[in-house]
Amino acid sequence: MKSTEYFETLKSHWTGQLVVCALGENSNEWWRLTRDLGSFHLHGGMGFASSFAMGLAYSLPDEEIWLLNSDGGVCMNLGGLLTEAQQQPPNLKHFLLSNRCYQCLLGAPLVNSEHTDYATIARGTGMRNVHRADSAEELNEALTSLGPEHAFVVSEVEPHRRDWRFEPPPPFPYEGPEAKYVFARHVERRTGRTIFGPRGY
Amino acid sequence: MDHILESRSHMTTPTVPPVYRALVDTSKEIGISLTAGLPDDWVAPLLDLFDADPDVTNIRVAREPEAVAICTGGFFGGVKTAAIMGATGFLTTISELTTINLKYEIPLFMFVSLRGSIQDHQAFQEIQGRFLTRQFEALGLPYLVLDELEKVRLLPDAYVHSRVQKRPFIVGLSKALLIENA
Repeated sequence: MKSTEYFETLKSHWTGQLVVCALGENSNEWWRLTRDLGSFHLHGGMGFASSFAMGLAYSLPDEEIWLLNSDGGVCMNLGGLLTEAQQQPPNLKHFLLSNRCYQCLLGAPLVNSEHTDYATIARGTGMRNVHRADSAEELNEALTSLGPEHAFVVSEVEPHRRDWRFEPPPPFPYEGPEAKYVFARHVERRTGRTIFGPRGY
Repeated sequence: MDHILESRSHMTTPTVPPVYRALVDTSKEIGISLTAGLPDDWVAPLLDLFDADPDVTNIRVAREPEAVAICTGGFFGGVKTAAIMGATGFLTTISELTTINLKYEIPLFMFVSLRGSIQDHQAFQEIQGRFLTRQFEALGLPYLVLDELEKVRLLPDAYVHSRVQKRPFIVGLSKALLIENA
């Protein structure tokens, strides 16, 4: 499946769920497609967007949380799959884009890229609801079948060539503390939860 | 596998020194309801107590940076959290603390054992003791050395301080606190 098909298919099923984007391809493409201020772009903590999303899922049990993760991130936090498998928060939907490379690093190869089977790894951790969706049709089917339980969806996505450019900027126009406040205020409005107290912290 | 898991259940600390209970009770007074961590032997009883507490969700992790990220995610749900780990575990979290919490100015409350201090005679903790508090300072992280039971009452202010400062706050658990109050 092409990257554009992958993200457009996700977007076609997205109804405003809170989205956590791992840095790189997921973050860049989701922003380009949605311009959604209710998505958190974790441009740090390489590999730990999954842990961040799990904390968010636990703290907001009535919200469905979408995690847009990548195989590069999973490689940096394989142990996180064990923690996720132990918990399997029902409101966490983990989408793993596997393009077998670091797309945002000019396609630098990923370790053991020819052999790793992420769906099998996930099943081996004890995750009960693992999908493999390598085409837009299969992803569409997987998204349609998602129920009120934890899900882990793995999709093989073709890496794409980009013209080389030194230090291309990420597409979204805000970062750092502003990203914190934008996302947190969105969560406050959406859920009625209080994140910042009356003094602003 | 069941017999292995059953054996593990018998390894839980049978009697817990009162200081650990004081740390849990004060954390609950603060409103902490989500904890995550990976223990060393000094903080293991603390995680056991959080595990057993029905008012707290405690997530055991495979590596300490996960605890940092889980608690940081919890912040955005409006939940009060604490990450718990040993000194060696803290040293594995530098990347996440800097590129998540310091970058985005997200507070985080942490319990970390002060291994390698002068009362800790374990050779395998020597290096941690040499660099741990210097790491706190290098990162600009405020911290409180808990070396007597009386200081546990400072935890609520320490929690608020982490919010005011918008960065991680370390509660350093000393051997004097954990052993002399046993």
